[in-house]
Amino acid sequence: MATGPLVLLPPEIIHDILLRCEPKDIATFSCVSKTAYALVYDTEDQYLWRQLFLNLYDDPRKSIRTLVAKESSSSFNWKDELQRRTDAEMVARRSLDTDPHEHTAERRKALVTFISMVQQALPALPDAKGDTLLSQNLQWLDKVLQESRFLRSSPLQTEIQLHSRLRAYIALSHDTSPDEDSRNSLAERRIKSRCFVYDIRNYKPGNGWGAFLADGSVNWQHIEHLANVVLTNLRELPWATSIPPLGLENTRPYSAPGPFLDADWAGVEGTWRRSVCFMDYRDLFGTHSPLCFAERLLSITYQFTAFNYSNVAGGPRNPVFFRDSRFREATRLIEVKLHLIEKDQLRFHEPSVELESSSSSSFSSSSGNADFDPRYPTLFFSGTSRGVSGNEAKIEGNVRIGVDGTVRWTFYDLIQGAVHNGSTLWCSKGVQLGGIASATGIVGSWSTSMHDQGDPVGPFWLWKVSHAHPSDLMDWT
Amino acid sequence: MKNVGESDQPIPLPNVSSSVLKKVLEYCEHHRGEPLPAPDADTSQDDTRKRTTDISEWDQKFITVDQEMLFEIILAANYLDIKSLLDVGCKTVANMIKGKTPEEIRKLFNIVNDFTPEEEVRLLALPHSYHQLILSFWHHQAQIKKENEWAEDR
Repeated sequence: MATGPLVLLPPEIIHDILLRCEPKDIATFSCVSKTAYALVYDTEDQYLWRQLFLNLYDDPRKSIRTLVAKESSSSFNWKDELQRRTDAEMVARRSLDTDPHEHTAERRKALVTFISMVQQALPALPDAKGDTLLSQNLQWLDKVLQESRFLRSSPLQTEIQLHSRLRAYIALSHDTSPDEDSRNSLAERRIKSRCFVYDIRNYKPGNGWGAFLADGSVNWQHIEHLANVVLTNLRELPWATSIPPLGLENTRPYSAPGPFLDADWAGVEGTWRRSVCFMDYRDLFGTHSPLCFAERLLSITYQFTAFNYSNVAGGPRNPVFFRDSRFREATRLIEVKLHLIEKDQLRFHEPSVELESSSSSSFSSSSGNADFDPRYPTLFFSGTSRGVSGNEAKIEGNVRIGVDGTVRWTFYDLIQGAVHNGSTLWCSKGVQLGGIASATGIVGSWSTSMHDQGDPVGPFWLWKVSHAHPSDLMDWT
Repeated sequence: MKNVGESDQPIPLPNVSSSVLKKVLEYCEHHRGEPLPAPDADTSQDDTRKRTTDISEWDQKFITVDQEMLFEIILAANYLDIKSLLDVGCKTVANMIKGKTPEEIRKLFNIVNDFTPEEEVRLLALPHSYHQLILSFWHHQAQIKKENEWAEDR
């Protein structure tokens, strides 16, 4: 007998047998003969590779796509995708021992692959048995990124956006080591991020006055800096409950507290916690009087203008500014309650200006109509925010899917001011970190709605909380 | 088998020899009355069940046959759509493959190595990087196991 009866079995039975083995045994089996090799690698049938893939990763057919898929899911090539992820892991694990400049294409492909795995993570919804499983994609990715330290080294110039996007998703959850080196490098990063975030030059019409690029996609480098500033501030607060849920698992779609209704695809309705940071100039100006927040912020606005960035160590464009002992950054924790409204119920926020005026540019959700999923229309909402001193602002805004498929939030805060007889309209623009209704929430920047040169800017973080969340609102300097 | 109903008409089984059919009947007789597996069991994504290669004592004894008979039982189980028997057969072959080198597998199943020496060298240096995949897979499985244990402890 030239060949035993094993390889004469129908391929589907051999695949069934192989799937009961370890992957190592499958690799070994493929080396036995040409027929065996072909059975493993040259099979038209995707069964074996699909099963191998699903043993390791989330089922991509269950993922949520915010843009209408360009390729149909039936064209998903399990073997190629499994290989792509395996290759990406190897690139990451070898990154410390190789010259990044010699592997630009591979590194880029690896970063793109890792991001796609976040996007294809299993939504955090209970399955038929009522259990919410961990995301295999994100468990795998978290481990690979931690162990390989791929994101610790500085990125190549061409990788910055991809690199920052992953780092924003991880949101310093890998930087919790108490040793001195880590603390020092985090402190350096904090200063770098403060320089970027508080530099008014990074907010202009060309980037939609926020963390965006000229083509309308998210500027992830900006988002990463915004996240760094808020998080390092929040970590200094005395209450641990005031930190948004971090880590890759919390970027999964629908990992935020529910319930989720079809009409409220973004999970707008409910209670949110919002953290706002700003530079505090009281010490610089000697104004120690306990002003209420609105007055204080307004006074900052005017003093800021007069201050003109330059009085102390060259202003916030210069890192030395943030090392000055007189520099203060304040953090506020605010409770926000939002509910959906119709577009014509908006009072002070005029989305038409924002959405239509930008339809000629790429900042509109209507610029590429064909790509947008009709299940996720622009939603409008209103609400209130409450700080330590009680209700203080009315909020209106909208949430929509951006050109790059990310979830974008815009907020207008109307603060009734006691100073200068006026009220100020603040505008905040943010990006959801991860999928729709991720627990990690929204990171972005705020400024005045007029975007006048000299107006203050700062970062914010908004995340959903259950109604039972303890009240821990505070102002902290 | 469902929807076949009672019939006096003989059912032709051209692909199953009488000695194999006798074995199959012995299996069915022993497992008579046991609940059937879910009809869509093999299309579900619950693949973890495939990873276990535990076989009950009776089945183990039943399936201890020569290779030719083993493969014929598998083919018959497949042909007659007896999922639990097919499962026992596949598990048995899987257990024979597990942990062996390519040479041991060739010997065990009488498979001729038709790779040229050059091809064999190339095979070991394939860009498929399958061995890396294996490592990551094992890591991953260990991780899941640890997490499950942790979840049970809670």
